[in-house]
Amino acid sequence: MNIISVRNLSKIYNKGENEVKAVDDISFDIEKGEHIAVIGTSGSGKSTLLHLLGGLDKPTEGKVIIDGEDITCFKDEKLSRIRRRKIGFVFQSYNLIPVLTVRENIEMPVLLDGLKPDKAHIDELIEVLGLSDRENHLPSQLSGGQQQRVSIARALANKPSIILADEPTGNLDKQNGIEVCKLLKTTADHYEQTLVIITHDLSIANMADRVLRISDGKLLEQKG
Amino acid sequence: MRSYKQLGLKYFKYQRKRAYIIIASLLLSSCFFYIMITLLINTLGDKYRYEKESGDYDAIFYELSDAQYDTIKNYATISSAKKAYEDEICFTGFRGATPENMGYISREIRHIYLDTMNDSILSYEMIEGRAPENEREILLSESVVNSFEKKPSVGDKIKPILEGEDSSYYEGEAFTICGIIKLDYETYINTYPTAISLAPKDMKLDTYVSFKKKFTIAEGCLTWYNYCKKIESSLGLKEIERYGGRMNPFTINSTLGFFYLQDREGLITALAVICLDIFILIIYIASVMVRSIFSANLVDKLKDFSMLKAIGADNRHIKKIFSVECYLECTISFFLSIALGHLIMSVLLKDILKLNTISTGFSLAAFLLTLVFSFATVTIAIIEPLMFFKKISVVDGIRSHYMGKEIKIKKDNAGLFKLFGTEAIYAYKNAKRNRRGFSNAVASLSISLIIVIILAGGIKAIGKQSSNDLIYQNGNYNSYVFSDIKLKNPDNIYSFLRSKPYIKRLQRTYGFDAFPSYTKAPKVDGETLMNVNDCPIINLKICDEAELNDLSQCIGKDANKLLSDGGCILVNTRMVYPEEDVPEDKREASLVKTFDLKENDKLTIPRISFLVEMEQSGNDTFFFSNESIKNGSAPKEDLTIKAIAEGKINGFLSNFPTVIMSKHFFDDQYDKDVTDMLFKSIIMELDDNNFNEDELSTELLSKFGCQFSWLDYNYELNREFRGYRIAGTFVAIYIFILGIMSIVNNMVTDTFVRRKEFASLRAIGMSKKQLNKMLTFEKLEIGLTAWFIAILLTTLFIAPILYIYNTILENGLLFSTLPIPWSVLLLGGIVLILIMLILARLAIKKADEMDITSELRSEA
Repeated sequence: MNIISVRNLSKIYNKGENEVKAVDDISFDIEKGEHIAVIGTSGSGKSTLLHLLGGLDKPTEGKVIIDGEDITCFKDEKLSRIRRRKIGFVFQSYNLIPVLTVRENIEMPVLLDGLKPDKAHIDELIEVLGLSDRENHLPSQLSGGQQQRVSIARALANKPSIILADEPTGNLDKQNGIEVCKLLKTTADHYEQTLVIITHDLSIANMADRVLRISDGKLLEQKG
Repeated sequence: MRSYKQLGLKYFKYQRKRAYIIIASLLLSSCFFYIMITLLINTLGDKYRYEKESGDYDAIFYELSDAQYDTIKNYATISSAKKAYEDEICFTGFRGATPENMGYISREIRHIYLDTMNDSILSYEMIEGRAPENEREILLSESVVNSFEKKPSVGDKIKPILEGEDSSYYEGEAFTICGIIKLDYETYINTYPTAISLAPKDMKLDTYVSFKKKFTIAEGCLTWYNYCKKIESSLGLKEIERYGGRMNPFTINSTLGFFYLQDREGLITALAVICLDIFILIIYIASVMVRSIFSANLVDKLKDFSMLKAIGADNRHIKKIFSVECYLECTISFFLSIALGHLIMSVLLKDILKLNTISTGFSLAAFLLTLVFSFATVTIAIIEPLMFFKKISVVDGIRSHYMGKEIKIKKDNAGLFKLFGTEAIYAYKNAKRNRRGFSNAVASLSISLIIVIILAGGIKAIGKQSSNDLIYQNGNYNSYVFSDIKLKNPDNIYSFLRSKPYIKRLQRTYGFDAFPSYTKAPKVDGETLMNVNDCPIINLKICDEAELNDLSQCIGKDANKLLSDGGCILVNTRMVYPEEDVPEDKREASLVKTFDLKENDKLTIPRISFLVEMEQSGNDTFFFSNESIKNGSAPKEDLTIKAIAEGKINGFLSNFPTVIMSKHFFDDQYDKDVTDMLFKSIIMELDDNNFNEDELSTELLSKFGCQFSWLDYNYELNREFRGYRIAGTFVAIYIFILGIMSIVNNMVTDTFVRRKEFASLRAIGMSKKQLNKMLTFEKLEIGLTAWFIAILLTTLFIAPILYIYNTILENGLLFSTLPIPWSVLLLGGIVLILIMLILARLAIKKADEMDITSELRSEA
């Protein structure tokens, strides 16, 4: 069963001579629980694709169907709801909220949905991600690896069905990077989540069920 | 780029929006400073002009020998000493037209000033015509010309009509107007509309000396007169005559009684509050706003500067780069502020307030002081942001992690904010943990509001105090009150007034103002309350049965019975009023005790029978005491004090210490009706709906020469307060704009710095609506906190402010109150909230314009 379907997706920046096709007529499907790695060179359109999948950006053409719903025609309110409930983002530069503690950052998506955080679940995430002794610290008081783990915990807090990770190891050293990816994979398996991970690290890509290679906005091949 | 310092110039060039905001903010603060300093400096120079305009001008004329003249002209405090003489004259009959400005209730006196042809006449600015060449030619001052309905011109003849005084050689003669001049304000003759003619050759020249008041209004009266008297006695001068300017509410008491401790409370409160406002304002501008502006400016450049440090710059380099930009903005704003300052002064003071007496010309001293102020403020203001920058590590700076690692996170449940949802909780936590930005914004707003509140409170206090003065003095009557000095014809006045449909009630008052030298004067805080002749003033009030019945209720004794066989009741009036505002435990101290006497003591006063006889012979009892002191002829008598009362006496100038006697007693003693002789004034209660002020004023003036009116007071007060109100409103708006500029500045920086945070929130599922709600809560939190602090500090500070001023002024404000202007607080708060909502909308708009994906990708 496909949880994500991408049909003829294009994202074009600028017009005329300066036109840049960041994503160029891409189509693919992702099944529920599948782990996908998207690889490509810098500027190939990986991140743009991820942002389009997560509804952070509007495509110029094409559709992004999540759980049978085309999110490209959703208005802001509904799109935000989809992001809160079905999607968890992990960014290269963590993008944590500086004024919130580790626990508060993790709980934020749940709170934004007007729900009471599932304390047992949050505690479990904190425990699993090794943040127990840091839960009352601010992001500025954490190392890069710790911040990325908080970012993963935040992405998992609402028990979303899809995790979109944009080069989650880009700011980390090799060992921390592998550790973070293992954690991502483990937790995604644990919570039966679909994982889409953008990377240019082949060793990380090889951990995925399937690898999508992107170049100049086009989908070159699918391996897996 | 020839030097790294030019980076500062580049910032100025390429970050125009930011530079404009900084320049505008600095411009406003420097401009305000420049206006204040210019006005202050010019006002010091304009002292005499102000005195002339306000009518607070006095002069004494002495007859001098040449030797005395030579001595006295060297006295530093004597403004002019020149040979001349003058005579009193009225132009009321000129061409059958009544001068328009004779409509003023006070008696206007026109003068012809006679002088020899000398430099002083030639030095007057000749607007038209030429100087007189013979005794029958006359120069008219511009003010005389303007005072006529039909303006006389050069070549016309004028025939003065004398007003019963013994006048000299020109009776019946006509003068030819040979020129029109503009007089300089420093001379006595310009106090009144004046004409100048050459002195006749056969006239003996007396010498006239005019003393100018060295001090202001009531405060200086005693000192000034004492000074004159000292010179007078040391040189053996003979006083010819003295003149005072037109009386206004603030000088009326000092002019009549020369008491200098009375009735200045309202004015001093006003001045104190205004000075305090200005003082706080300047501190505010220097310490909060400018600092906040440069803090925001530095935060904007935090990443750039950190990167510069990463490539080898040290703090010294950063300081220079930052300073170049800041001082460039300061220089631009300084010159703009000078230009804007002159524009504002010209529009506000000249065109709106019509204060043409205050000079607004360029002052080098003001220019230099503003220059020093501007650059000193900027120098001080950039120290703190640079110190802050020093504490941030290069890495944190590049990552823009400047929250401060020392923050200790305590578990909190966000209190009431929980009720408003996640957005409100987030806004609360953001404010709590990003204290720097929050406190800057709150400080700017709350201080603005506090100043507006104190200013509004100050104006309100002035109004209240002055109204109290006015009401108290006039006995709370909505009425004309006039004192008939020359024409003691009460029946005539009474019947005239009774025919007026707009007069509802008339009440005659009886008594005298007397200045007995032989009665011991009271002391207040070491100062003896005496007039210029070292006499305590007494308001001798002769009450009829009905008035004594009223008094009985106040003193708890039967006043009619007490005074049935003579004697008096002393009424010690209060220095501060209304009485109910004086704390119970301080009532005693607030009294201006007429005399330190007890019941059954004797009080020596001028003998009433003598006063009555003087009245009958047509003399003026008002000046009786002066005469009696000079020639020692005043008979006196002792009165037994039957009771001592406290509080106010309704009626004209009723805050003078008062001695009350029974009218009944005089009727019996003289065995005839002495009503007319004891008559003092008439109080009228007017029907506002039918009242025709112009008609009554003109009729009273022409028929009775009345002196003071409640409406005069009101007119003067309104004139004074119109200026205060406009100036206060201007300053309040000005301050508020400064505060808002500071907030806008903070907001722009805040939105800029937090753009990635907003993008992150949007990425994890915060909708635009939720983001809007969160930003609205944040701004509301700032507004509400500022409002709360303003209320708290205003409430807490007003008492110490008054205490400080009470201490400094000792006698002035002991029991005065500066009311907390709740209405302004409420209104100011509402305006504040509205402004914050508007700012929230601006922040939301900025956030909406943001590209989420590029912000998420950015490193900062």
